[in-house]
Amino acid sequence: MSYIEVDKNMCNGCAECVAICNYEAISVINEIAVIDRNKCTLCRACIKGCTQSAISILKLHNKADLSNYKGIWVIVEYFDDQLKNTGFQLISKANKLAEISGDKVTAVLIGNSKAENKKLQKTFSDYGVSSVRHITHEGFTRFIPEDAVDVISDQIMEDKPKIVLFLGTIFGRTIAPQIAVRVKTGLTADCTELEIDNKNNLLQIRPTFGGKILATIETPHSCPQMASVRPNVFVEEKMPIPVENVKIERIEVRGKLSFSAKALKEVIRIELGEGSLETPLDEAKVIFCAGLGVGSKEGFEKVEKFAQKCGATIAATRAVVDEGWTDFSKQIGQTGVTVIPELYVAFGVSGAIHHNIGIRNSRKIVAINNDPRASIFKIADYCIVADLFEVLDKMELQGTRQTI
Amino acid sequence: MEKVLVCLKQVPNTKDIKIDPENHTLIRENVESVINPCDDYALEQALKLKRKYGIKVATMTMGPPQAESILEYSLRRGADESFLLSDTRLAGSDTWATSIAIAALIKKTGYKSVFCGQESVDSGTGHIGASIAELLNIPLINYTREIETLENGKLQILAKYDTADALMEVVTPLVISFLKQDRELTPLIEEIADREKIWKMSIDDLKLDPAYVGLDGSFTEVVNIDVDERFTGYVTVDRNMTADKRILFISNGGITEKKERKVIRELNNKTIEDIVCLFK
Repeated sequence: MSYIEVDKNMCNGCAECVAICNYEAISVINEIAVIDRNKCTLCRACIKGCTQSAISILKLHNKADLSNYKGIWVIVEYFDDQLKNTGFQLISKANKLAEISGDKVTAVLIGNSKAENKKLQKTFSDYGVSSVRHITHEGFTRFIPEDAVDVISDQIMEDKPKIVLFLGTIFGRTIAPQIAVRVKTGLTADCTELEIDNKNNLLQIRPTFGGKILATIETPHSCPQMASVRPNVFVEEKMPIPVENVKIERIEVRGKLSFSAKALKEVIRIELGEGSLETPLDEAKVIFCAGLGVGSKEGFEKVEKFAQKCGATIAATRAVVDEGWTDFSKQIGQTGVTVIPELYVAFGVSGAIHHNIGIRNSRKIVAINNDPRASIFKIADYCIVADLFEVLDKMELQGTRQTI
Repeated sequence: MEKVLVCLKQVPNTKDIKIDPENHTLIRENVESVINPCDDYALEQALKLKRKYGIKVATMTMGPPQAESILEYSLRRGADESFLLSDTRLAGSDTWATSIAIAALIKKTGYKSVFCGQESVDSGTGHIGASIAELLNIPLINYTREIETLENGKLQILAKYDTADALMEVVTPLVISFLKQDRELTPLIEEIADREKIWKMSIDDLKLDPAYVGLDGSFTEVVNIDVDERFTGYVTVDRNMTADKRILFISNGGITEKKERKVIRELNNKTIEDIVCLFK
């Protein structure tokens, strides 16, 4: 990591730089300018403004020695005391990268102080991860990501991993950019592919322009190389041979968190309103998706109601979202969410390529469409050629009968 | 909170973007430039506070000179003043370099609280709000749906957090990133924007060193751009595939067709039962 340096022999303590600094990072102590690295943002305004040319940057492009940085960290999140499945997908991908780069994979867990070491050991040995850092603090809740920003940043600066991967969830995408700024390194958002190049650098591949362009991005001059990764694009794979001696390092953060004073926010109420109790789309096991075939907002709501009854998570195609029958957060496909549920039921979905790409890894796909040539049938396990509402009514009837 | 600065971005209308099937590049001609939808909603939320509590609303954008048009639009909507940060030396900024420049502008203008959209439709990183909050060392509320109230200097904010919506009470200053919500925007109140309210700035005004912003100041580098082949009409075919497999693969747009499919054309109790059983 680069930083601003003051040449003590050249500085005359004129304090010109103190006035120039936008971030109150410079003070003059014993007639020499001192840079507070926690406040300094490397904006370099002081370098230009110094009357004595005493200030320079230890520039990472020339001098930084990145050989000290080792290992791949995967930040794994909890969802209701359970480790997120999507975390294991990312670990499986990290294992493949590690094989090429010769690094070791470390899983970093945040939260759930009650998790038992034994259980964690078993889980991670199946995924070939021999090193686990479990960071806990009694104050951790899902609602104050700042706490996680503090702790992970400190850990990164202390132990210097080469690559840090985050899940592209609400939590991951909130903490990652803040951590990147804190440790002063690059970050790529929402990657859909990761590779290691011949210089052992991480290639971060992500869609832009609504998914029409794939950009390959590198972080060549700073470490760690960080990326958030879209959930459900990689398939979770256990290792053929479990590793032995999984080391769980429990890091209990005690006392008041250093940065919490900044987070002067308080959760006063958790609204359990619209859709809030549902499993998020990217973690859902059963998904019912409504396509343009539902015909109207009422039609969509009918499918939605049925989904709630069956304990499924409701989703929609882009066409349905464009019609305004539901909001974007429910959109499946290339510009929406990619999913890998156990069961995916498509109601009146034609199966445009952009949609099919987002669901192709689903374990079982049931498609209902009255057009026998609909492309969704090409990737479905069960193809029901019929009117979707007729099927819906009959399913509902059957469902009630079974519960009685 | 007496005043707020709203960050806006001018983006190409992604719906208009087509791929040239010959050379696999983006066709940028006749692509309309628009205000990023989330940012428009962030502006709406700021203007709502202005109408209700009389706060001052400013807008800013970083981009080419023609991005001024979205600032004019914001003034016509009711913003009090605007800042245009336009400088060729900012070209090629990644999210880090962009945040450094925007944070410097915020410091310079004296605004303490910042509203922005959660992410842009063109690059869609969602980094800027979070990075700015970290650079300014103030709290961040991400994935915000709506501001409910502003009382005694405290805001009540409804935001999405994981699976739930949370209502939070927050003190200012802070950064709020807004998700696009399905709300009607208030109509324009001015016919022509008062362009004297637009302040133009370069990186010299912000005392930023050109060597450390833009492309040179970025930590990440774009090393390759590919058109996603699914949009080109071409797919890459594995040469080991047999001819019939190839035909299927191509006609499916590169997705492997399932082998064992069960086609149901008649709806009887048995077939429905089979399907319902899958739900369990």
